[in-house]
Amino acid sequence: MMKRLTFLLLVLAIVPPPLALANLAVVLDAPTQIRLRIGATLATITTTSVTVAGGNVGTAAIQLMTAPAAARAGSSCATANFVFFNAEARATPAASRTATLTANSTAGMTCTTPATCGTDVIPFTQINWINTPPAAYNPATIAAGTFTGGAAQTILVFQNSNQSQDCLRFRYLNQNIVRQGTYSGDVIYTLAMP
Amino acid sequence: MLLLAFCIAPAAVSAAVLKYKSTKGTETAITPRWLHSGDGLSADQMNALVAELGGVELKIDVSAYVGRPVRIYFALPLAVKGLRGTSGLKVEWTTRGILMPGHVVPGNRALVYQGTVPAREMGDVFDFLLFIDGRHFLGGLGFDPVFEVEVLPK
Repeated sequence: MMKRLTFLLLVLAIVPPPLALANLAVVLDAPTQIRLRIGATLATITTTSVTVAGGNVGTAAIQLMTAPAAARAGSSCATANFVFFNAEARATPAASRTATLTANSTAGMTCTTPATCGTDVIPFTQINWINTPPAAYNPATIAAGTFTGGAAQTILVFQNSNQSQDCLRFRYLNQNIVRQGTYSGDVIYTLAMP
Repeated sequence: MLLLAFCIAPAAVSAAVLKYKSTKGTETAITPRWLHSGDGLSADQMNALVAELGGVELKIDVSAYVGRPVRIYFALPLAVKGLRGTSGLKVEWTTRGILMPGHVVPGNRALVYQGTVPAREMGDVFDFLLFIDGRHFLGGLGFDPVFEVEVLPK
């Protein structure tokens, strides 16, 4: 009795996977964009100032600071002496990144009239601000606060893509007796969206 | 008296999808730009993007309809890859030839041709503007238009 052994070779055709239909176009992420205006436009540095009468020095009577009209030009900050803040951060996808506005107030306000105040420094912890936005900027996004004298004090945090607009009025707390003279210093604001 | 009353209902017209090809060949990557800038922008303006895709020659295969009266539509699917929800995108286009300009949003269509099909292939050069609401943009938004044809009674 013979038995045959049959070998069956099954050859399977390799069916290629269906080709994904490409889109006509694909829209990529938009370029990241951040913009910051503090007071006056372009490279102008806004100065806020106050003169404290001799009899009021160190009384803790809060002294309102003034600001030039240029500090709110073109904004909805209608009240004199307020400073317009505009911080915006754009990126895609929406709400994927966090923008932070910080203030560096470490330098303090140094005496610029050495004959009367030597090398004295008034720390920025003596300056605070209030935020009273007009209807166009309600609700306020920057909370009222006081400078900490730190290098990176957080002023505002928000997610993309948003624009934060506020009108701030700065005030001298006048809590210390200081020598007569002129004191001046810069606070540097930085907007970052890592 | 005999009163005969009857209604004439229009025959239902069904749309078929047409194949087309782009002379651009493969998928084109576009980087959008922010549409508005300046102080005092609304949330809509802050998030408004536009992506431009110009000079795209599309050739539509209408070989099955030569000599027949048709309507051809430009349509966008309801679900667009890279877009959250069905809003947040509007496509506008102009043309340089036989097809009509128009605009459309996802899930809708716009007439681009009505008449007799003159040849096996109908082509035109499109200049597209894609208006995108960044709040709905998830990234990698696929622009995948569809051409639909309806045959009209002669």
